[in-house]
Amino acid sequence: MAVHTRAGQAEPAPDRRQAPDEAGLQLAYLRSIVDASDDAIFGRGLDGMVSSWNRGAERLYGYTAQEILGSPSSVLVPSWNADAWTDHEARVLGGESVDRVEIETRRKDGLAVPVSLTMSPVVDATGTVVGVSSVARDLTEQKLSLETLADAAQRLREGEALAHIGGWVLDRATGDVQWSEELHRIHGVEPADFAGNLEAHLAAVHPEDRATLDATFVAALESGDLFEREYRIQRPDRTTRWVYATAYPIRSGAGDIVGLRGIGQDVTERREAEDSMREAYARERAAAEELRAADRVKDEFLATVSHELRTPLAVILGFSFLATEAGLSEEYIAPIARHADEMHRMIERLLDFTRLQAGRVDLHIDRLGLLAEIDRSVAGLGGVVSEHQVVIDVDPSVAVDADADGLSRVMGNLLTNATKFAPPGSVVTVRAARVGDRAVVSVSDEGSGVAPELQAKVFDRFFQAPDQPPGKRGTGIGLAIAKRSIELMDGRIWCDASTTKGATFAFSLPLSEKG
Amino acid sequence: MILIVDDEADIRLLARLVLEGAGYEVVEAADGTEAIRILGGPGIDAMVLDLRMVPVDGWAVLEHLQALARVPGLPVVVLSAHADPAMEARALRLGCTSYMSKPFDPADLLTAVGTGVGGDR
Repeated sequence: MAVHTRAGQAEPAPDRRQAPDEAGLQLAYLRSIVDASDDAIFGRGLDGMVSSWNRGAERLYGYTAQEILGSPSSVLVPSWNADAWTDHEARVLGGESVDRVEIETRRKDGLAVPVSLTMSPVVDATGTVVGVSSVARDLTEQKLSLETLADAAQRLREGEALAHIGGWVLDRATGDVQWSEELHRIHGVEPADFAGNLEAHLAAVHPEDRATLDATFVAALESGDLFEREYRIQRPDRTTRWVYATAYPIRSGAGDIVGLRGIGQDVTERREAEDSMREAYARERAAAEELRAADRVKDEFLATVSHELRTPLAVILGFSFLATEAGLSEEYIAPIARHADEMHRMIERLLDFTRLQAGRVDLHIDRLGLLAEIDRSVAGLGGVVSEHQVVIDVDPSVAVDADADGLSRVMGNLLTNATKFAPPGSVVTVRAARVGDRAVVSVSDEGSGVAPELQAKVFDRFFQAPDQPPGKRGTGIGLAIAKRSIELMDGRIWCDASTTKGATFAFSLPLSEKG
Repeated sequence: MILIVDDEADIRLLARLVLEGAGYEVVEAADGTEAIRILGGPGIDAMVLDLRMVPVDGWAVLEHLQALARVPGLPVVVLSAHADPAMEARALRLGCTSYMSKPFDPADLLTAVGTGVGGDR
């Protein structure tokens, strides 16, 4: 079919008076020009069907001439531009021209492509309009060479693949959905297997997430708001993936929302990492809670047992006393009383410990003269320190803000330890010094000292020194109690590592501000 | 006469020996119900009271005495397995005269009871 344009520069109207040969030559010449053009040049007849299609049109739209010829030209238009396109064609069919209007047209793969469009009427020899010729210049490609374009398209594809981001378009009027190459890959669906509509798009979504996503689409088409969603898709191979999708509305020239344009990103790895992190955190929290519960049970158990032991102890100690009073052999009774006494002290320490652990302890912070308190502690120990020489080198003017019971508990523990690990007759020295706003009290003995690797551990509860003298094993909580007591009084306690002979334990307490 | 209330027979025996050794007359009760029954009769000058007993504990005995306004007139020495300041405070509020924890020094028991009855044996 011969097409001729009146206004088109490329195909001037032929003249019947020309010789046939000359006309044929002219036509061949024009066809070569049309084919060589980078622009898409195509025509349609009065029936609305595409009647001519050049190579530029093949490149721009993706249809071969064979595929498109005889199809309605409306396939080249996205639904939101259908009205504008019909208007243009009507004007041209009325004999006018449409000169370089910018409009989005639709490629074979569904993606919209902005073009500069020139439409001219095709007239026959009698001047009757018999069709429309169109020249479409791709605006996106306008300034780029084909090589650069191919490179850019390749890079876009690579970028999509690397980021696992694919693009999609929803046409509101038709319900058509187009996926980019990467979105097909994300869904594991070959382009040939995708029906290209909203139903197919939603069918790929996990059943539990489908209704929400559908509602989101509906809402976005109504409100025109940008939306973001994460949802699961089910691939044909039955695997489930997480997709992050965001989309914004496409508006017509009149401002109506005619579709959605969005991206979809495969975020499965991120989701899985987050999930496993959440699970790990929950597990850890449960384990910690279990430990705390076990710790509480243990403390309660210790408290209960310690209390239960008091009654039999009362009987043993009471009858030891009565037996001695009654004149029974001291030789037999004394060891019973001694060990019952020791057991009593251990029970008291266990109870102190459980009370400190549970925070059930009332502190009465007073101004305490250090020397007087230390003297009282030493006196309170009675026989425990009788085999050692206790030297107290403390300035009587040093006073601290502390709880008297707490301080005597700590002093008692440090002095008992010193006498336990140092040989009888050796010297135990108690010193005090002002350091800044603190008083530092130290207790040094002449025993075997504390091995450097154990110095950090001695304050752990239930720690037992490996070199405990036989018959002097304790509960292993003395220093743990001392540490807790000192900390409750805003002080610190440590094992002095600098001493080479014997062991030195020291603690600090706030100096009294009242003088 | 001194009433000794404790569910542990050996503690009752110990208290009895200590108190009788000092010249007191003693009567025993193994739980709160029995104690309340004996307290309903005449002749009790002071009481040594354990707290944790079943089914009726020492707290119930103290509350009973308070309801009848028998305390502080009647000296009560609580002898408890709990050396707990909160318990001691509660017992003193309920009218006990002195609070001792087990194990106890027999001399301290004598002092507590002696203070309560004003040295009248």
